[in-house]
Amino acid sequence: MPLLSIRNLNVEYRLPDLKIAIKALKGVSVNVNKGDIAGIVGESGSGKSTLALAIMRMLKPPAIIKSGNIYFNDVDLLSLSEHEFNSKYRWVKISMVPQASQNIFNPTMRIRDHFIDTAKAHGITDENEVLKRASEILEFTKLNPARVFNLYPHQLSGGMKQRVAIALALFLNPELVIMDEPTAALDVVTQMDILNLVKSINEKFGTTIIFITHDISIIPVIASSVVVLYNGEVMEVGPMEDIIIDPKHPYTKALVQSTPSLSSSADEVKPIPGEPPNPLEDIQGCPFWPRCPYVMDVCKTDKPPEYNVNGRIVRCYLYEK
Amino acid sequence: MRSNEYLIELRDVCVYFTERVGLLGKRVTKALDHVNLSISDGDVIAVVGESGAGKTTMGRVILGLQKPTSGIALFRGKDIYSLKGREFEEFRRSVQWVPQDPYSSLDPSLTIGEQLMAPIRRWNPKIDASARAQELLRLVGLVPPSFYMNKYPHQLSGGQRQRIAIARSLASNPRLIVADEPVTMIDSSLRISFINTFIELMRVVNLSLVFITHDIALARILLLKSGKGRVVILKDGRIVEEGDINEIVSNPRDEYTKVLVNAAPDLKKWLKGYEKRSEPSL
Repeated sequence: MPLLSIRNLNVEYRLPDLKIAIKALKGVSVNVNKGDIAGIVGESGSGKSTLALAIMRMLKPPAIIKSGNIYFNDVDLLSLSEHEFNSKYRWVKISMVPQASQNIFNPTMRIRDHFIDTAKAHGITDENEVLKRASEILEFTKLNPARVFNLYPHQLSGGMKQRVAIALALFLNPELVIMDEPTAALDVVTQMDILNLVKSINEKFGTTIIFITHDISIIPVIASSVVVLYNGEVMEVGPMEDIIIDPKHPYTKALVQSTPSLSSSADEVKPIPGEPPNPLEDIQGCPFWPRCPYVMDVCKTDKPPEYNVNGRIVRCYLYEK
Repeated sequence: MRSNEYLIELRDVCVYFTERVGLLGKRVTKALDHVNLSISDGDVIAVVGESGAGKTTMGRVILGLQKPTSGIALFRGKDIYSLKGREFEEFRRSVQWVPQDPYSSLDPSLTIGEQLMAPIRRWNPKIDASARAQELLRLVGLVPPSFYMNKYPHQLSGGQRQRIAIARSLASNPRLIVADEPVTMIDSSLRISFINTFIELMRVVNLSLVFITHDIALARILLLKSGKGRVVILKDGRIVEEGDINEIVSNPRDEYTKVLVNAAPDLKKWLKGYEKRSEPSL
């Protein structure tokens, strides 16, 4: 039984001014097993952050969850009352390192008060206990608690802020942590430090992690399984090695080929033709067909179903038997 | 080579920023520290370093936007910061900028056509600005150009906006473009098509390029694909290494370059390592 199971999730952003609804997630189904680091890869606009916010039940209007279920240990999170979800799940069992964590802090509060505030929101009022627990986690993230506690957010570097954001997410010892582009604004050296930290969290505490990124080149460093999202739809799901070594979906193939490596030759790296999809336009059929080199007539009219290719899920008519 | 044959030359350039700390104290940040660099016509220079290394400051010195604290910045042998009149005009026309963020670098109140035609008219009042604007759009891969002329920036994607910013930098027929992290805000899957665009531009309009990036793998592909040029590794305001990219990647001499090379995620190397790891079981 997977720890988290998302079934046929549909999310829309309703824009009354334009009299349209942008479909951000279209029938997304994803399983995340306990102890996994599940990488979610996709370009901007593919629905990565919407998915993260849906799991946290933090989507705000104009976004609405049209249909679908999110099961966590077999409990449908979407069926719980806000009170029940907030007291038993949000941050307690499932927490998040939001995108652009550089900007999530209250600039008028010292770092210690961010921990005290978080604890208070969950009914923990003993400050000594809070700071003791916070020190342990900060030390684990390789920060010096005595120093960092008294600093204001603007006194921290980008990498330090990211570590504090991770420490805050781990504060209540959750089973699942969703990390949304945790290395996006960092340089490569700091990025590698943070990736190593995320791995050590997974190894030491057994925390299950959903790792969202637009950069497929860091997937082998961090993930054990991969979900490839495109225009709000799942294209391919499988174990990390399979997907990186032998991508089946034409989009995944193109994504791997478009990623420059320090050892690739000039001709190996090829751009994905065309432009990313415009979210205002509804694409009939497979969302990748306008850019796909293997496009067939059926792709332009019908949505490909899930094909099971050697234990992997691929949504592409090339694999129809 | 005589120095006035260089398009741009930085000689022992330092840029120090002095901050006041408390009542009497001062803190000096050495953004550039004794930097020497020469750029010839047709050169491609990839400037690589982490945040705070001085990459943008170097770009600004070359663009005539940041006067060095000491040292000298030359354009065709003459000090950029004492150019006047015609000579300064010629410098401005010749050296142009592509900024990082296409969401803030375009004027939201002007159509694409208007933002391209304004600099075209500024530099060349006699030509048909609309025709030239469309030619520039085609050069950066936005076809058909007529589709874009009447659009506003908010109607375009980030990638399209960045192409507009590149087209705009070409309006004055420059000899050198300083592109400061031009693909950082662009989806990684589209970055290579931008690299191809820059290479195409260098070929078609004989442009020189200073390409600032924190991504050494991307810098390498740019240099490999263009078949010339060199990389400059900046660290704490100093050039720690400069030369052929493959040479530097395979045999980094500086400690910082080693760190940079080792930290760059490498899909291909990982795949090779994977083949090796899985061999015994075959």
